[in-house]
Amino acid sequence: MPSARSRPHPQRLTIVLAQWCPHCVPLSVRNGKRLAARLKLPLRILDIDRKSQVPLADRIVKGHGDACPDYLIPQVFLEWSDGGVEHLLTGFSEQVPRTARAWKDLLASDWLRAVLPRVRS
Amino acid sequence: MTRRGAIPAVLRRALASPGGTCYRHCGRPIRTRTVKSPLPGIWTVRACPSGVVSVSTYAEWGTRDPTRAVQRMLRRWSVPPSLVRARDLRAATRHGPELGPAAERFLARARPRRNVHVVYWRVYPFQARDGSERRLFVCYRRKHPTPVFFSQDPKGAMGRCPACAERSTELLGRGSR
Repeated sequence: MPSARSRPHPQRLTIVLAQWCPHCVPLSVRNGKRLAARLKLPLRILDIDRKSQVPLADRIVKGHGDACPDYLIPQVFLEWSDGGVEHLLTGFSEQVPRTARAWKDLLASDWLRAVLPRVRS
Repeated sequence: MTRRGAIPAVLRRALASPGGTCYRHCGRPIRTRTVKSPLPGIWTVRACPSGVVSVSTYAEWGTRDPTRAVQRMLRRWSVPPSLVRARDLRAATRHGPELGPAAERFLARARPRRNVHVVYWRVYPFQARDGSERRLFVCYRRKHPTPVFFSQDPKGAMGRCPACAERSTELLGRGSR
């Protein structure tokens, strides 16, 4: 049985976004910062309009997120110490307030309560 | 027992997104309408009172990505079918924690584990060959049993559904015999 020390722990929160997208900025940046602070993690922003960040954004979306030719943004991922990547949220295309509700629910979720004890101080 | 892929009421409530206004067209409130289809999940079409479509959404609770089935169905409902392009279909997976406590607990308990797969069809305003602006419209008239999607100049006359027009021509033809 692995000890608590050797169990994987969250390492980084990543948001794939675009600056022009109202679901992304400021909504998801603000809530991403909140979630990263709760998990005591660095927040990485990958902007799909920055050439240097596009390959990283595409790789994480294709490997772990909702991939399609013109994929939805924002997409939020939690990276774990064992290399695992967990897709947490994709923006709700219906309207910005629906994406805001999803962030609120994520921050109040049972999932987050279960992850918090695994956070390294 | 529910049909495979069907969306239970608890998830339907969690996915609901009422409200909003028609962006860059008339600013009037968006109406969300559920549409029947042979697919097991739920279709909703968000459109303004004039029929300008904001987004169409299909949600299914299962293990497969329904994008291809959605594309096939939309092509049957669209005039011309080429209006439905793969790049306008965007997938989203809903895991539970972002859907509120009731849906999160429901999905956590469910076996086998399944996510909610959502496919959005959004056609951004585009220019026709003559340079006029085109937007996606939907017609729900009873003359045709399924919704009909078509593109039209939003400044032009409303209600030029090609399926309705075709049927009117047929009836006129019969009347003149």
